[in-house]
Amino acid sequence: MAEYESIHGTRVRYLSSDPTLDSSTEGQVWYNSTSGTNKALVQIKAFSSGANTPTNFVFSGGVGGQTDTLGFGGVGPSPQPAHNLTIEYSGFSWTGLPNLNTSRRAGYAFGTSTSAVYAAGDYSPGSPTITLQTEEYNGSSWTAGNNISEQGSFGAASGTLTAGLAYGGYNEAQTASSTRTVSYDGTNWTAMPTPGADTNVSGNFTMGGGGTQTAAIFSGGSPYSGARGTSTETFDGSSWTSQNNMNTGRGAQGLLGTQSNALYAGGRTPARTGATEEWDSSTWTTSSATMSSGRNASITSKGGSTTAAVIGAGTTGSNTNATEEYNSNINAITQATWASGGNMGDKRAFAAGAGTQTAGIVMGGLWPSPAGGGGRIADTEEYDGSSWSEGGALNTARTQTAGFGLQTAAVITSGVSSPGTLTNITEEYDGSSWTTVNTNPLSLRDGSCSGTLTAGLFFSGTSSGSAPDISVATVEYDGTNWTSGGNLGTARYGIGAAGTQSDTLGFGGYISGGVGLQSVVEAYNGTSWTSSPALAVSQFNGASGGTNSSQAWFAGGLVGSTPNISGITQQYDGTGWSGVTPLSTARRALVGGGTSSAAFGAGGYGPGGVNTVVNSTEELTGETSVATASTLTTS
Amino acid sequence: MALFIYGTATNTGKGFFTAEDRRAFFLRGYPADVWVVGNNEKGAMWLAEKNGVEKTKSEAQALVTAEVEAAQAAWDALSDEEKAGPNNTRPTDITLP
Repeated sequence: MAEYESIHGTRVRYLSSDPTLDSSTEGQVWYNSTSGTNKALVQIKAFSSGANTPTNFVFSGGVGGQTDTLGFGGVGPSPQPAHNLTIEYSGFSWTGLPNLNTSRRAGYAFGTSTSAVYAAGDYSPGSPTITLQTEEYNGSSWTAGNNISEQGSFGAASGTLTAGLAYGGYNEAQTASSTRTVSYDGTNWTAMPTPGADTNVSGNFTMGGGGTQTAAIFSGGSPYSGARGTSTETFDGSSWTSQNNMNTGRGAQGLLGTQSNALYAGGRTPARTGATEEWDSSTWTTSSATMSSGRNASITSKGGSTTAAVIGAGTTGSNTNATEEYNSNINAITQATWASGGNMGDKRAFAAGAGTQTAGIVMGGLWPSPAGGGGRIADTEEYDGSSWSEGGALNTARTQTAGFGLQTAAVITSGVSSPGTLTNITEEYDGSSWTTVNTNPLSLRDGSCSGTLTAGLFFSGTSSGSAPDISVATVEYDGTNWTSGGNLGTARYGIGAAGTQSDTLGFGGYISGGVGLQSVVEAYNGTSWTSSPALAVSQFNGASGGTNSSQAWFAGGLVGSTPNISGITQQYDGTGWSGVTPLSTARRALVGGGTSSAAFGAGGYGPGGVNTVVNSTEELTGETSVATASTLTTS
Repeated sequence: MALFIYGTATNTGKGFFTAEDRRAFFLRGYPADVWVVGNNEKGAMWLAEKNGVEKTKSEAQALVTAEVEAAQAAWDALSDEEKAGPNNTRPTDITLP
């Protein structure tokens, strides 16, 4: 048996404790003399569930990465004919995009999510009717290009819109397997001219395909009802070369990646498998990660990373809408989620919330009686991360109000003080009692705020809910006086808010009059508002918090076009919004405070209506990502 | 095997369900103290440890529906002026997963 030193040229280090674990340590092996174990920092590989596709997509085209996977065409929910739908996965949810002009399945797909090509394919599985049409996607629409030649369907493809490659599958007449390779330059298809260029033996159901026009790769394939191939071939721009085989023959799913790093997840062996193999430029290794169910004919993120991939829809024997995300990382990731906290003394909704998970405050709100009406609440409750205790009473009871600051230095302003009566009364809290201070220039309900008692911000809100009465105004509070700030770009109310007076993020909201929920996000720098990346899902009337314009969370409220009361939770990391485990109980008009790492959400009401206001609290624990060494064992 | 277990349990506050619970099994709360729990060993253990009462799906649905229908009836009895209040929409039906 070869020894480690003879293979790697170095000896295994002998350490009394694990070294500092980070990306620079990846791949290292050491002996931990304290635990008596051999250890290594290696990639942790796993599949996790993603959002379902809106309908069935079987034998669809797929391009893009884990956060911009584009799926188009395919069949489902009925077995035939094929549809022309296009969807995109954000890493959070699937969204419908403009349709293909020609319905089809099993075409040749390549490019990116904003520059894609779909060529050939069939559209009537029971009695194949082939299209040779090429369509190009520019990020907003599909347009027809010149017809492909030589190829029919169920093959593989590589490259970009202006430098693509299609190969294998059925021939143009779909009467036999194709051994042809054709290239695309963004306008015309050209059969590869050299004799060596059309010798790939991929046969049918290769699907997928990775790399570029001059450095392509595919693996597997062969007859649908027979044994599946294990062969892997690479293309250098002029000829195909056989490489080492996969461990398990499979087809009808497709490789994603490049000649250097590739992934083949699932497929038919002929039984459907969830097993995954990884290609490292020379050999295939069976991954420790396996999909939760064997499937094939899926949408794959074949233009993206092999350490962060998406396998969506397809068939497990029956059509599936399920999505699985594949991640390979040296970090052990613990997903963010909500746990139960202490119950408030009062059931309430439409209150104001501020502070932190271990020093939170809830002010005012509406309590649930009589049905649909309720009464405005004057009292305050304080949270210590475990239980709620009674605080001082507001001088002016109110609902649909806004608050900011800390448990011992909070501000409440604006809201509804009696049915149909808006107030601009502002009060300050010192941890035990409320004092009425200078009034807010704006009398509004459902406004939003951020910051501290001496550096606060109030923005948006509405007086009637009607579009002309939705405020874009911002006012700043310095602990004594209110002064005007810059106007929001988009008028809306019920906006989520995070940050400080000079670094605030405002997200989502609602525009009445048939416009609906908003995904708009804007950042305030102390002077003006500018656009930030939109929410993954439009959201309104949830709890929110966060430290600045680069870190925020938004939980519960209303989502969707209907809209529906939800427990959805979205987090912003400075670059984009992603979803985490939702609240256990769907609700709106709840309040909260804290950061993306540690927050609370309390009160609100669910689909049962305003008469079902609750007093329950949930605590958010943020995602953790820790470089984690694996213990090596013998087997 | 069914995807979910249905039951009733009273949310006692802190510790009723933990972050580890949420990561270990599906959990959703509904009116009438109805909880829909992922059907695995940890989910079943959680419902038992919380002194939950397991229900069939139809029994759980009936409890939720009764609560919603009561809320709808209360809403229907409101005056038009009260119904027109901001954010005061008629309670919607809930269908358990």
